[in-house]
Amino acid sequence: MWRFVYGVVLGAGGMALWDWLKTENNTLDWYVWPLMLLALALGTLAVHHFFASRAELETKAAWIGLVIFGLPALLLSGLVVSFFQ
Amino acid sequence: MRHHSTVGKKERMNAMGLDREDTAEKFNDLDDVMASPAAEWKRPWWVREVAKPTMDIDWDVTERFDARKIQQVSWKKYVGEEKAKELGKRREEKVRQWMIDQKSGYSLRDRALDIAGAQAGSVGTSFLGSWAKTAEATKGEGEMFASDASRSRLTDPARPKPLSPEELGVPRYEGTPAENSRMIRSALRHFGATQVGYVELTERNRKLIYAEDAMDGKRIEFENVEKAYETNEKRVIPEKARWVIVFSIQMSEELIKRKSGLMPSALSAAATGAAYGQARNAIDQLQCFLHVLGYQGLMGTWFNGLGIAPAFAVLAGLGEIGRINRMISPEHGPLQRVFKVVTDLPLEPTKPIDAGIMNFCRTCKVCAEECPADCLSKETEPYWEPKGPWNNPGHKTWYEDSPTCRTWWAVSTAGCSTCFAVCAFSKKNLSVIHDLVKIAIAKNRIMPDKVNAFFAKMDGVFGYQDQRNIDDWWGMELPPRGTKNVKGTQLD
Ligand code: SF4
Ligand code: SF4
Repeated sequence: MWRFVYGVVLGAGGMALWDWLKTENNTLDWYVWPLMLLALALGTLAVHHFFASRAELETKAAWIGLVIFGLPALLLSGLVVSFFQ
Repeated sequence: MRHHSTVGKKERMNAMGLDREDTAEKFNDLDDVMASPAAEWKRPWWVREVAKPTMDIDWDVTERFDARKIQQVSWKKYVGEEKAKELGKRREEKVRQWMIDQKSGYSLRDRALDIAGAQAGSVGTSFLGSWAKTAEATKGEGEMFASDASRSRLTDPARPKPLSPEELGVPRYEGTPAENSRMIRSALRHFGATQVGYVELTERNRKLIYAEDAMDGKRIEFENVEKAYETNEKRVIPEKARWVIVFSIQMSEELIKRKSGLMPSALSAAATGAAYGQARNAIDQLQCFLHVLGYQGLMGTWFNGLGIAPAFAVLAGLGEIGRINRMISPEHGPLQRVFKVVTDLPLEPTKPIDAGIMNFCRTCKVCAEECPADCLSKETEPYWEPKGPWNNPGHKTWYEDSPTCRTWWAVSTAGCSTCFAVCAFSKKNLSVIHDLVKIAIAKNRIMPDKVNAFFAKMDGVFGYQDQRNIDDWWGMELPPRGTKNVKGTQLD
């Protein structure tokens, strides 16, 4: 179920990005792509780890993981968004 | 001669209206199912099969071990009769007082759970199978497979004797070693086993079969005979029984972590006890299964079995040896107990593995630091010198101070497994982070010691070693056996 929701969100995001790149004739510098992927990977890990740890009944691990993986994901996302201006 | 399960298949399927071609095409018979890739034991990709275990072994130094030397049997001798008596008396007083006080983890209900899991159940372990002492098979009326099933299992210690193929008037089961291995894994999983591997006995590794039984001191010998037998002095394994089925029963991580600080509680001890209780039944079921197929399944008179458990588990590739001097598997860590049955059913040996676990233990040391009795080694490198007569020499490991460990059980009043509970590999494995860490432990070649030490540190930071509320366990809704062990199975 959650994998499906994640797939839909990711697909929608990808399509919006594709649209943005095409219709406005915008381009992104090459280094934005690895940064975007890294932010995505860390964000995914943070969210997955949070819920999986709750399922493991490891509440402390859930919150610490959210901070350790989530914060860099947020910072990187902010950086990536700044390249879209 | 092979006995395929296709006899009369078409007719049977017709009779049931199941003669659809697509069903019949996929698997022609049971042997095809067993040979299908899906039937293989799926290990994580980072677990490497190797020719030699990661633990060095010197077979020239290894000796057949007298099982009576283990601490569970000889503890009194090691610490002195007087001291053991005194500790026993104090333990009894504490056990009773803590029950009256309803101390968390040591109340009557906690003790009851530990005792019931470990001691009750339908059978004890036996060399030839629980029915072996039953007189000649006498079939009950209308019975086909069991002899006299009308005999009450509850009131009669002599158990119904399962009929052998000879008694049934059919040829015994025959299969290739690979098919047999697959079959035993499926059967054992059905009986409750977690991981299953196989060792072929050779002149060298036979040294891992005990020389004397732990309980009654009977000699364990190999002879060129058809059938295993037992006298007042010895138990005899036929030379042709050349395979050891090695399997584990998983323990509940939630339960084993319900210790009281570093002290084991009766509740955390119940995790171990239940695994032994379940194993006794699984072993007897396996012995019966082999008997009905026309083969022999041999076990010791005690749960410790006929040979050294961690050694066989390492040779069978269930896992690697860890600092706790017990087997740690990549999938379930040390949260399992290992059992062995010797058989004459030809099996395909499984290989030892390298998943970087033993190397990780060099720098981790969490168990040694948390051990309340300080009986685990803190040396970085494993060593050849045993700590005492309770260790069997001949392999390079972190030998432990077993009598001190056992003394701590007496002092704390409960079977200790704090080292298992705090181990970095004791996880439920639902978060992918555990897999990522294990991949790095197995594959990383960049400053591995520093990276591994970092992982061990983070394990504590994430709270995996933290104390859990003991009484909360009684209000939890956990899966059967308290484990979620579909990992590595086709239901994963
Ligand atoms: S079981 Fe023995 S070795 Fe392990 S923590 Fe307890 S006292 Fe130490
Ligand atoms: S706690 Fe660490 S050192 Fe001890 S057995 Fe587990 S992984 Fe090895």
